[in-house]
Amino acid sequence: MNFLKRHFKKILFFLTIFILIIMIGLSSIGRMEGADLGFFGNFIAGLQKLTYKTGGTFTNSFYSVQEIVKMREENIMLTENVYKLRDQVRMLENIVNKSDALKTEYEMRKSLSYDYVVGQVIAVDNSNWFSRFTVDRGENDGIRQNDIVIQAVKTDDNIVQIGLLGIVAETSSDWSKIITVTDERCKVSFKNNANDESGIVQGSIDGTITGYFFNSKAGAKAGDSLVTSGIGEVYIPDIYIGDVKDVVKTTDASTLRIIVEPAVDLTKIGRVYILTK
Amino acid sequence: MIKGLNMKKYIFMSSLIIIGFVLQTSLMGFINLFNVIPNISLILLVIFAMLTDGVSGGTLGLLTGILYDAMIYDIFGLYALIYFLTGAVIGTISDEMLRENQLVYSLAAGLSTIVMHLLLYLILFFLRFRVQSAHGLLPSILVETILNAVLVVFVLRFFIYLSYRFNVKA
Repeated sequence: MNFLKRHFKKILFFLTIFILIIMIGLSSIGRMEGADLGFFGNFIAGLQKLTYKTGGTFTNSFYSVQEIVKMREENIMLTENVYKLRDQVRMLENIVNKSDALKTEYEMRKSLSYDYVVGQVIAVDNSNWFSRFTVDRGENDGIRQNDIVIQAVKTDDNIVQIGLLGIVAETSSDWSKIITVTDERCKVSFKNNANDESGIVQGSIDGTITGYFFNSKAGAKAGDSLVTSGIGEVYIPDIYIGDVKDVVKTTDASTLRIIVEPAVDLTKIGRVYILTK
Repeated sequence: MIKGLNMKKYIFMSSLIIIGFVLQTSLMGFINLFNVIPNISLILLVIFAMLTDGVSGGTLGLLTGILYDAMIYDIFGLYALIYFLTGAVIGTISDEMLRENQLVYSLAAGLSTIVMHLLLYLILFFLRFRVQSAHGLLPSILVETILNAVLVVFVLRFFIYLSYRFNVKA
C-alpha cells in the first residue's frame, strides 16, 4: 500500500502510456473506432467552421485586392482558352459521332450523374506528416465511411468534376474526417488514359503521390492523365486523379514508378463534393 | 482542488487549449511562413506545463492530444501519447528550471517540437508507415522549431496579460 502511495504518479504515468499505446495499436488496425465527442465535438466543429470561414474571407479579400491587376490578363487568356476548347470539343464530337459505339459511350458518360452532398472544409491538419481535413457534413447528411470526396463545379445540368480529393475516413453526426490523396494511408487504383494500363497510386509522408503499374511492362510518360479505375469498388471509375509528373525506374529496373501531380491544389480547398453511394 | 493549481486556473488553461486547437486547425492554415505553420497547441502546452507540474502538464497534454485524435485523425491515441509525454516531462522538470527566464521557454518549445516529430517518426515507423521519405520534412521541421521557439515568448506574454485581465494567478 505504501509502495502504491509513494509511486502513485509514476504508476499513473506509465499506465497512461500503456493504455495509449494499446489504443494506437487497436485503432491503427481498425479494431477500434475513433472517439466521438458527441455534443462537445459538434460544438468544436461549429467553432472551427466559424474561424475557418473568417480566415478564408480575410485571405480571399487580401488576395482579391492584390490580384486585381492580374485578373484582366487572366480574363483574356481564359477567353482564348474557351475558344480553343470549344473548337476541340467540336472536332472530338465529330469523330465520336462517326462511330456508334463511341457515341453510345459518350452519351452514357454525359448523362452520368452522382448523388452528392456539398461540404465546407472546417479544419485542416497542418502537421507535416499527414494530409487530412474535416468537413461540416456527417451521418445526418447521408455521408458514410469510404464515400469519395472530389472538387467540382456545379453547372445547370450536373456537377463537373475537377479532380479527386480523397475519401471519408470517419464520420460523426455533423462532421466527417477526410483523408486526401497525398496521405500515406490513401491508396487508389488508377487507369492511365493514354494506354488503359492500371495500377495503384499512394500518397506519402512528404506529400508526394507515387504509384506503379500492375503490368511490369506497362509504360507511361510525363503528362499522361490518370483516372480512377474502379477496381476494388471503393472509388467510382473515371474520377480524375492527376497527371504523371515523372517516371522513374525502380532499383531492380524492371518496373516503373510514377510520380503524380494531383489534379487539385490541396492547399486551396474550401467547398468539396462528397459522392454518396 | 488540484495540488499546486487552483480550479479556476485549470479551467482557464483548458479553455485556452481548446481555443488554441480551434485556431491551429482552422485559422492558422491561412497564416503560414515559408509554407510552415507554427504549432500554437504545442506552444500553449509548453507554457502551461512550465508554469505547473507533471500531473497538470500531462493532463493538459492529454486533453490537447485527444482533441487532435478525435477531431482530425483516425488513429486514436497518437497525438494523445505525444502531447501527454511532452506535458508530463516538461511539467516534471520545470521545477528545476528558471521559470522567469524567457529563454528557457524558447528552449523548451524548440526541443519539444523536435521531440514531437521524433516521436511521430518512431510511432509511424512501428505502424509500418513508409517513413523513408521523412527526411524531406527536415527543412519544414527546422523552420517550425525556430518559429515555435520565437513565438512562445509572445504567447507567454499574452498569456500573462490574459491571466491578469481574468484575475487568474499565473
